[in-house]
Amino acid sequence: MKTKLFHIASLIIFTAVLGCHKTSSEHHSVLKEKLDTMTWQGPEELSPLPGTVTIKNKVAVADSKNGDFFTETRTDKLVQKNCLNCHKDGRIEAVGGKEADSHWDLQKTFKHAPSQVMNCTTCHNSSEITQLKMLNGEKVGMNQSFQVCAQCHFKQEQDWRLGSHGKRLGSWTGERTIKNCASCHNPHKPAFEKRWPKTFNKNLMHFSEAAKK
Amino acid sequence: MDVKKFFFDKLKSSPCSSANNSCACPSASACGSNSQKTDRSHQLEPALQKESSRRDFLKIAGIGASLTMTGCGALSGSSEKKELMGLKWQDYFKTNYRLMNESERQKTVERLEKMAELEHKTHYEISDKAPVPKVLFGYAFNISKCEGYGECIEACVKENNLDRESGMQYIRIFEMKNGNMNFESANSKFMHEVPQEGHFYMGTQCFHCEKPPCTDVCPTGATWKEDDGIVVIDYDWCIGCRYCEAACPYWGRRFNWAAPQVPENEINTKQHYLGNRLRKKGVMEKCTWCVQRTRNGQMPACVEACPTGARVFGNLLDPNSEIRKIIETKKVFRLKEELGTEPKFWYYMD
Repeated sequence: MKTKLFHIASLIIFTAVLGCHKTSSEHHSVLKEKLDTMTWQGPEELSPLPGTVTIKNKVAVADSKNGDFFTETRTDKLVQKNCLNCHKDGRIEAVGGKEADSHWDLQKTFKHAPSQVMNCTTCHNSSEITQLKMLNGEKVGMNQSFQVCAQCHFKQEQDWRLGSHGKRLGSWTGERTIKNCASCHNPHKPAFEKRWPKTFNKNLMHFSEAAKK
Repeated sequence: MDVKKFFFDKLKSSPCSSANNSCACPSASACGSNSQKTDRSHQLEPALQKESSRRDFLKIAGIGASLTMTGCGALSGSSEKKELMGLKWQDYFKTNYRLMNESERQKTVERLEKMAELEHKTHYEISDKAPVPKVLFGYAFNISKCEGYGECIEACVKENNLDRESGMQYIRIFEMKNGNMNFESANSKFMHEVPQEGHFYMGTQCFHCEKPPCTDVCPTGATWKEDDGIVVIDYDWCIGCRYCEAACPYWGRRFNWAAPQVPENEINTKQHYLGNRLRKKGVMEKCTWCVQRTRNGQMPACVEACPTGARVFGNLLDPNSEIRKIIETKKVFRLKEELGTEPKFWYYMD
């Protein structure tokens, strides 16, 4: 009887000791283990992946913190190109008699910031109309327009450089080319518009068609 | 003990057949006389002694009929039909994809391509591309950015040849009321202009867990986690028991209650054996992080389609990847962390 009691007691103590070994709340994470052991130690060359697309029209952006990357160009995507057609010598005033608003759409729909904060020449360079400008007057090209946005939207710029804001183009690997600010946000009306959602659910599609009428 | 003999003995010793008249029958005439009883047992004896022939007959007839039918199928019809029958036979008896070597996998996908050509006159490119080494995929979703547009859903349905008839969607976008994160009261079937006031949007799909409960419960070994982290299904090994659907805490898996219908002109012909090749009735399917795209270096269709950039995809093992930076810098969370499934799909906010 005594030996039996002794056995039972020792078993309980043994189990308790073993059980108390991991006192921390952190249980074993398979994923964490993988990330600790398998993360690349230096730059790695992945075997060439056939679907990788290299973006053609891009500009380099230097970034010591996040690693240099590329962003899309703007000059090939401007809606109203050839500012110099009307602004003959590059000045904002020299419109050559074409005051009848070429920018009528912007004047009516402009919605970016209150007039106390912003007007056309806040971003557009009035002496060199094909360029933009920083708040201190410094000239900035259209392809570097993200620098202009970052003056006020520096938090978004940080996230954009990191990768949590914006969108990567092409492949998830290799050379990193991301959309720039104006690729997604119309600088004169940056907020995303409301729209009807896409669906493939037939019941919902009927409903949406009826409601849209 | 000889069962037949037992019954025979029982008959012989039944009250009605015994010498004394303690018969259980209501009247002697209904039962018949004792002599008649004895006659019946004599008649039964040969029947009981002989081998049960009816069962054997049915067995042979069944095998014969099926052989005839297959034989008829093989003999009649064009050479194309014969070839298709042969390929289907081979396909039926193929081994588990994980046990195949590279050449067997190559043969498997080539056979499927040939079968599609013979049967539907369509040309598919079915890939058997293996996981890219040194890659573990991860996914992040920015709930500050999702506006409920559903472009991801459209892109996914088109890319992965989802059934149009039932409106199957791997991705569900939940419209949730501001103030709490309650999936019970969220609406994933909204149909009005988005984003709606006072609501935010969250998307779910298969989270490709690192410890997936779905792969543990599969009785046939039809689903498993690949080396690059993607949880896949071999549609030809799935028996449609739906254990995996029950095991998944996130309802990441879908079942084909009917044969999937995809319009001919909308079929995506660039397919992968474990991904968007055409499924059949009675099998499970789910998001595969567009394995046919991602193993070639492309982004999943949903990531590419999102107009607000709410979705991020990349290689968790690359310390410079966006996904890695997001989970290290941003305030991230995953759903149902306490279950220990370790999903590789993180949510974050700006």
